[in-house]
Amino acid sequence: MSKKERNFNVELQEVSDINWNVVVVVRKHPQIVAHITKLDDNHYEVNQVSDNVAPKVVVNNIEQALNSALMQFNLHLH
Amino acid sequence: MELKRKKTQTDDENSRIDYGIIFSVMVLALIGLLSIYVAASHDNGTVGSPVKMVVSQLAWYVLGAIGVVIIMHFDAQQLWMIAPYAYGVGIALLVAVLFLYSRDYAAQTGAKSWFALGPFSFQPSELMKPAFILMLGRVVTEHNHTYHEHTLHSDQILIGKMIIWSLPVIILMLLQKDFGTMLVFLAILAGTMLVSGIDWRIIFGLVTIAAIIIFAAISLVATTSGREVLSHLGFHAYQFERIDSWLNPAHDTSNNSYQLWQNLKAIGSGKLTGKGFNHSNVYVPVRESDMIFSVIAENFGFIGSCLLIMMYFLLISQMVKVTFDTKNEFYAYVSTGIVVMILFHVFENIGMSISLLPMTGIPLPFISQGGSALIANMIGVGIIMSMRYHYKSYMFSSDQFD
Repeated sequence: MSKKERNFNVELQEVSDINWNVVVVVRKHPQIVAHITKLDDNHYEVNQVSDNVAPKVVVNNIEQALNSALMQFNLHLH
Repeated sequence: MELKRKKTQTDDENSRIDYGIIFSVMVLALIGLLSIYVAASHDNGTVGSPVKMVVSQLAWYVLGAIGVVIIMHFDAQQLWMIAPYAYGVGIALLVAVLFLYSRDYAAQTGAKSWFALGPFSFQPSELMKPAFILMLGRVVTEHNHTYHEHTLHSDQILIGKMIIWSLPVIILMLLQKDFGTMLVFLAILAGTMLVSGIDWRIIFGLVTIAAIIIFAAISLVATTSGREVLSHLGFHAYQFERIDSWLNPAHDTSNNSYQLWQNLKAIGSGKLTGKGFNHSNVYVPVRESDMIFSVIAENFGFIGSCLLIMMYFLLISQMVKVTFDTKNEFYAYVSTGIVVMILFHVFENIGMSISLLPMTGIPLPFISQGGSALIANMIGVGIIMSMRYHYKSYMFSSDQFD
């Protein structure tokens, strides 16, 4: 699944039943910015590819996990 | 089906708005309006009609609330893009005020920091505060992405960048002779530096240098020869008088220390629980603006004053929580600047009111009478609220996907 944003597109790439990659496409250049792992039904771990800030966060659902990945990835820098 | 979708949209919109921050600001606004009413109704002959003053302040609040709603809709990318323009406009206004300042305000306060057009007045340095915070946030975030590893060399470069962006503001504040507002900018710079990831050895060195400068300044102010040196550097007699009234408020209670002494009497006379709402028998000059804390302490006593301080801490804790939730680097620096700005205003204003710190013209956030400062604080609130608003906005729902 994917979504168009102002200057970039975002794709949630399913790797397995419990693993996803968050892919940001800026000017047709895709890059994986975070990995999401489902720990259990209520816990999703977000690992940023860049370890600049808060590399690992645990949230309650996949939407929050994706959101967290995007917030930590400084979209305005790309 | 249509109804259900509307309800979901409303729920989603509600979850994006930080009602905790709105509640805290509204409580502070209510305290402010009541305090201005008390101050004006007891000083009717000098400051104007109480109802007119309360309505005027309420109008600023409405304007500020509109500002909050507009700014809340800016996301991190937009704030990022706005930052240099806001900074540029702010600097242009600060330069313009040096030539077009209100002569009346300058005669009253000694500071060339106000524009005045008929009954309206405006202090550009207040609007510069959020612009400066955004710019510093951008500078630090950009630097940290250029230099992934913090080394002593990269940290020195970062400090250099921050000082370069701060210097024009500091110099313009000195030219305006607005020492109090300059301290606010220095506090914002120090707060942002502290969280920017700079090595603790450099921070320790800077703190040591700052301590030496403060000690040297106090030593110079306390001696006659030192004051002569400071006079040559551009300091004025009224600034020395403020230091004198701070160090020894009982020395000259009829002239220079009159305001502070009356202020201390008002605060002390409130005792533990205060005299009750709208009961005041100690006159404090300009208590509707910078000395508003004396009204609260006189009316509601030590307990009321403590509750006010707790309300500020509640607001600040909510702001910090939003920042932690978003986990965005740019937001973190901007949020730190805003929190430091509000915290420093509260600390300095209440500190000077209880004679703990020297007198400066710094208002009590959300409470003191005055439009420019209120609008600046409301812009800060709007930026913080935009963090939560857009933290939720990135959330994906299945029907939004291609």
